[in-house]
Amino acid sequence: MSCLTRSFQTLVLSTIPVNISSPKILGTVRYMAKYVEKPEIGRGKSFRRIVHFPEEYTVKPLGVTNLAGRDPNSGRVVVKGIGGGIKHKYHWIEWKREGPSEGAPQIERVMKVIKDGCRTAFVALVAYNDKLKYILATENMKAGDIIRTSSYIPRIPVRPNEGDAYPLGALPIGTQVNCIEKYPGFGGTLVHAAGTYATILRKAPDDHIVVMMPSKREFSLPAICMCTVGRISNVEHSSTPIGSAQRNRELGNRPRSGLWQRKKGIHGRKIRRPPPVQTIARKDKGNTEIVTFSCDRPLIPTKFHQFHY
Amino acid sequence: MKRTPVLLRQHIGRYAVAHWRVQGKKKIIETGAEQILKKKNIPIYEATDLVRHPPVAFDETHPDWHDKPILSCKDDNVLLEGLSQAKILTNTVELKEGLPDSIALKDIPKQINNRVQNIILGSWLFDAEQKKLPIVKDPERPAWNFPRTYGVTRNRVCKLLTARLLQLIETTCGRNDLVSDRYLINDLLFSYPFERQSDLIQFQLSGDTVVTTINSSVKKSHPHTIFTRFNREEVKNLYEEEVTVPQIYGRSLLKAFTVCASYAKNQYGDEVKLLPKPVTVQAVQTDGCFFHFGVFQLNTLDLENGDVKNVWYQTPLLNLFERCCYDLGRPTLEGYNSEVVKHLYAFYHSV
Repeated sequence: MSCLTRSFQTLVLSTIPVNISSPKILGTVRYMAKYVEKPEIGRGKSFRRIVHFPEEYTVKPLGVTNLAGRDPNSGRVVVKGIGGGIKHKYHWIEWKREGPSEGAPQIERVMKVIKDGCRTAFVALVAYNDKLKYILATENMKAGDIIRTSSYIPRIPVRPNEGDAYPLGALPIGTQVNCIEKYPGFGGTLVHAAGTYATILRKAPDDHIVVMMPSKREFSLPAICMCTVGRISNVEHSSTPIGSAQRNRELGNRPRSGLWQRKKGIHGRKIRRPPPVQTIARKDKGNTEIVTFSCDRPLIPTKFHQFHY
Repeated sequence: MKRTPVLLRQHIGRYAVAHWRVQGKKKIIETGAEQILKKKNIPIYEATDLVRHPPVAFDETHPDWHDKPILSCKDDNVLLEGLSQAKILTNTVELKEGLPDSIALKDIPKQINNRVQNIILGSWLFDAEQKKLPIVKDPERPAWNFPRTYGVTRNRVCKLLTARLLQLIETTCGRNDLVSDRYLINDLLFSYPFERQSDLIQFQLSGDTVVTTINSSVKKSHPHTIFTRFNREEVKNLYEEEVTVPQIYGRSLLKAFTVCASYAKNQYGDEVKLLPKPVTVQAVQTDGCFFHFGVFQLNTLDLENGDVKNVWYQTPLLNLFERCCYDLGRPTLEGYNSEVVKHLYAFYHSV
């Protein structure tokens, strides 16, 4: 039928002189799919929720917008299996534990340990000077505890208590630490999950400290990187089963296809040697500007009036 | 193709446009107001000139901008550390546990206890107010949404309970001389700004019901007891965790202090530090179920000097009852505690 219309149209148009401004006959419309660039997953962008951060730090729990696996710009589904669940407010954690670089450490007090719905670990409300902040709670942290923060690296390692924040270089070898800064002054980015900890292994040349991550990988980090002493709270999290399909939905996960199978003995065992120690240094990314070229006319020779976005 | 069949379909957007096309044209009715105003020499402005102000920026250019912030404690907030922090802020000590000896608790007859129970039922269950009550959540089953209930709001319960209990006490205390001196004032706002260790602090707190009495020496009305309500929906921590018991105690103390301090300032002038005569106020805080009783004696307004201190007496939280609700459609009141009413009588009798 559309072929017939099109042939009629060409027939009619061919008989009409071009310079006469008569109403155009609308032929068949081609609905073109619009090309949308989807963001890459695993690049530090969350498709579970957006947190509405205010300009200044606050301990007031923040509002969130749940994304259900969609990219907020294009609106397309990027991650499958996310959606629904109980909406939780977000506790804004102060990742930077900054203390005095000389003299006595800053003293802080744990006011309350709070269960946070947006992460696996518990969150501790901490009061210092005349301010309040949230930090990730360690295993045995409780209300009323006094914790210390210092950026000073003494010649002899300090004897730290759980929850204290010191530079990696100030702590004795074998200490369990969490919430480690990857780059100095960047805020703690490594080891955030419930029940996890990293271990300080040895000193490395060039003022670096080798730390074993929960994944058993070894990172060589600058000695001035801050970290919190102890193991992250909610240790039972990994051994607690979700319990039911409904509970999984409450956590904001959608049903799985059921096709995934865990590898068994028949798949064999691959023994690899551990990867070598990775030295972390901030890379100079150089010029990251991306130029986008545009095209004035459609690449396919299609009649203009046939386009219908 | 004919367009008629397609347009016959109902389409709210098209209807709205058509409606707007007709109703968008309005004729302005001449009321003659302008002529009357002109006759009386009242200046006339264009309404839009007055309404459309550019938004005032809330920064250094604002006329009310101050470089030093004032730390303000209002009715919807509580102190982080509660009672201990309130004591330090107001230079107060607690000499002993419980109320001062001058407040004597007396047994009350059964008849009055029955009337109090009727008052509780009347305020909690029988009031005609039907408003949306706050959302109920079960921490064990966070996904479960309870049906939204309507009923008497907590503020209304507190207001009714205090008013009715006070009325009962006034009619049954048997001291006409006392009752004729006492006055009830509702929704008073007290404010006391001060400087402490170079911090500007201000308490802006309300006494929801204030009982005043006439002082025999001054022949002037002064605050006697403040009744304040505590509504968990309104009074919150900044970090939105539940308000703890010490924080409730601290709230009572701050309220009593603010009332005393603002009265002392009014009485002895702005510059007074050591009061010639202490000011004492009794404080009662309730959420409709628990009652907290405290007595505050203000000796000094010099809050940094530790030589002379203010005094605070208090009771623990006392529950008026354990349960008051409809049980299978029948109004029930369980675990009524007459201690609360004893305290209220004692507070009213104290001179």
